[in-house]
Amino acid sequence: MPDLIAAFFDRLSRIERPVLTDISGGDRRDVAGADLADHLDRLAAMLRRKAGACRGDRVVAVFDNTLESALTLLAAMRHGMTLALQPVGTAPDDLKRLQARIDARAVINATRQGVSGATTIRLQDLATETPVKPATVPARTPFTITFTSGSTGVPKGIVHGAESFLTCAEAFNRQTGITGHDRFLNVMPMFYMAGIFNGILAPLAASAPVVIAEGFSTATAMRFWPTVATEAISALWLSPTMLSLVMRLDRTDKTVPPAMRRLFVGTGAMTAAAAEQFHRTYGLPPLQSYGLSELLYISVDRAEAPNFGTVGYPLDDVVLTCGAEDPLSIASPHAFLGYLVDGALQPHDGPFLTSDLAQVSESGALYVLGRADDIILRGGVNVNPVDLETALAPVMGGRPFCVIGQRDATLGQKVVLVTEGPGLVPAAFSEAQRVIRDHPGRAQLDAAAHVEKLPVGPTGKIRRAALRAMLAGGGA
Amino acid sequence: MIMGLSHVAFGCSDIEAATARLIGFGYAVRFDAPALENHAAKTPFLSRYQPKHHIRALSAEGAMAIELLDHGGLVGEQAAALIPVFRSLAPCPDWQARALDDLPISAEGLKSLCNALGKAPLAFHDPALSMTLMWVAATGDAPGLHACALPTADTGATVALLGQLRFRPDASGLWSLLTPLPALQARLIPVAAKQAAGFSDDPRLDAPGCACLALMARGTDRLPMPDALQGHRVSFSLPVNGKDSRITLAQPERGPIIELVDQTT
Repeated sequence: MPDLIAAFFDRLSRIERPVLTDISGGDRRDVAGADLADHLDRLAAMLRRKAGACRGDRVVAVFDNTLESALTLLAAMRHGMTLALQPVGTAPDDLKRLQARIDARAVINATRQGVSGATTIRLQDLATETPVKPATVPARTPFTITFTSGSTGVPKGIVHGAESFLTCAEAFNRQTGITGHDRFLNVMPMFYMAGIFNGILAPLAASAPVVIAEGFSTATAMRFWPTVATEAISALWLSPTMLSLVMRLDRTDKTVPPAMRRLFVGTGAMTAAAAEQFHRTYGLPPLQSYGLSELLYISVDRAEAPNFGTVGYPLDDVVLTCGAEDPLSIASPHAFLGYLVDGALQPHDGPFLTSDLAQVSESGALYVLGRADDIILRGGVNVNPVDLETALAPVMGGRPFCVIGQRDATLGQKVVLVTEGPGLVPAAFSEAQRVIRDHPGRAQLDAAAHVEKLPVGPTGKIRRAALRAMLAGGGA
Repeated sequence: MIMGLSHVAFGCSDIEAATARLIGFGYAVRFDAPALENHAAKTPFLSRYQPKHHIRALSAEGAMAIELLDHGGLVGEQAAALIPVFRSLAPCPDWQARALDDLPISAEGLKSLCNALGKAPLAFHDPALSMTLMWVAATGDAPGLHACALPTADTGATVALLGQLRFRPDASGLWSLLTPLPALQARLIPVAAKQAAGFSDDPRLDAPGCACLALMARGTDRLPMPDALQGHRVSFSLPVNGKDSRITLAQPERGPIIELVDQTT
């Protein structure tokens, strides 16, 4: 395999303009492509001197949406180190435990907040470092370890080499027409796969500059479109929850800034209704994608002829196998190296069996119907909660909700509508039951429950397994 | 390839007094080389060559790095190439007030300067640093060397030089380098020049004031030099602060001597 990492940095070194711009803090900070390698080689020197971390070492890295995080990520890639990413706010004891569990050389902190016991990455200290020249990084060198949510058990460490990111990014950019003329805004959390791959590595693989902004929140949603306009952004990623907030909190005249041409939606399922509403309002189709932490991007919708309700069309060389009852199986050339189990890499080989039920249409569009392990078996009838949620969305008035199954002595499982905040009034629940009764299929809503806060992941996706556990433990 | 600022060179004859002054602005000594070889290739950039010289590098967070140069004494008039603009809560008590009109900056240039600084500076002579400099009040900002005015008789040529050195202007006319590392940042303000008594247009490393802007660079032995540095130029190797370095000194047609510091180890 050609040296993809060297080629990646060589392409960036030819760019005189900024390829990374950090607007997340008070000061705007730019790094030109031509200067990037020098900064990364100084950072590698600092990691060696301050944290004792060299090529081949694992490092626990606390990341946030900062230039320091982006540079640390790229330095690890260039110098053959492996980063186990953790969010800001992780307890120091948890970081230490993780360090011991994965036999990491050090804990480093690339955020603005202090982290006890961690080596802090400060850009101002790089000026005095002597750059370390990078050696060739062998193929299949572990680069990142990200962790599953752990909602269904102990979190699993997913190990990727740099090649899977770079080849997958190339396939994605080719399919979506992303080039060096684009300019990305990264509001995805950078301790998470979407924040480092969708938001940093994939755009840079196309030589497209990245503007790093504060991680998305209700507060930043208010200034979302002004930021897109001011920074002349042409492409970005949002989760379905973020997209919904952007629409609800938008106080502008609903005009998409002229440079903006691609809005990708990932990390969760966007309903066809939400996509259509966004498209009607802004004239820009939100492009649903499908991906897995283990396999990176699988599919993405087409901007020229979007197919809302699907997750788009598979990338080149990604092979899908699915049946009516069998979960989706995927063979991808961009697959992970394996899971980290007890500190050792358990290699992965062959197709990857997902937990998702899916269908491929005659046109080749992929429909993800839901997770096989979320399917509710009610009185012998399979009920897909995602399907019910799509039907219920119009009557829920934007209120966060979720449909889950709970054990039931008579039915095996009952179908429960869970809302956030105060419980539904009886009339509202009756209306929801009517909608489901009228919906094709033989589903019924059996009960309503409410929780103070629905458990969500970093991008706002509801964690159904955690919610089931909460309700089973009497959390409602 | 220019990576960022290495330092602004200050000629001095009493390096301890100059150091004490800079420490007062929050600077700390980064390294000190009391008897550093003065490469013979530097002769054309000096009024009086000495085989050894004393250099002392100082830095302060949020301020431009400074290197004090003691070539055994100061020769001639203050270099008009760069006029430092310091920032602090109050001027130093021993500074002697000067009129801005005494500087080699035209009335039009002073307007540009005020615009870039966001306020009018004051001018003082500093006996410790042996030069006339400018000062602005710090409003919560880090003290120290904030920027340098760059008097020029040919703004177009100076702007072209700065562009080739990878400086970029903002809307106010302040030119800075594209680097996220504060320690490598430099801020320059090109201003229209005029002749002024006590200032020389011919910068020398052993003159009072700031004759030289030193930039960190990579690949100076193989990459093409910026056009503006193609004229009078010398390169030599020298260990600086324990690191082998390739030093290039160039005298553009106008402005300060440009030094490129390329660490080779």
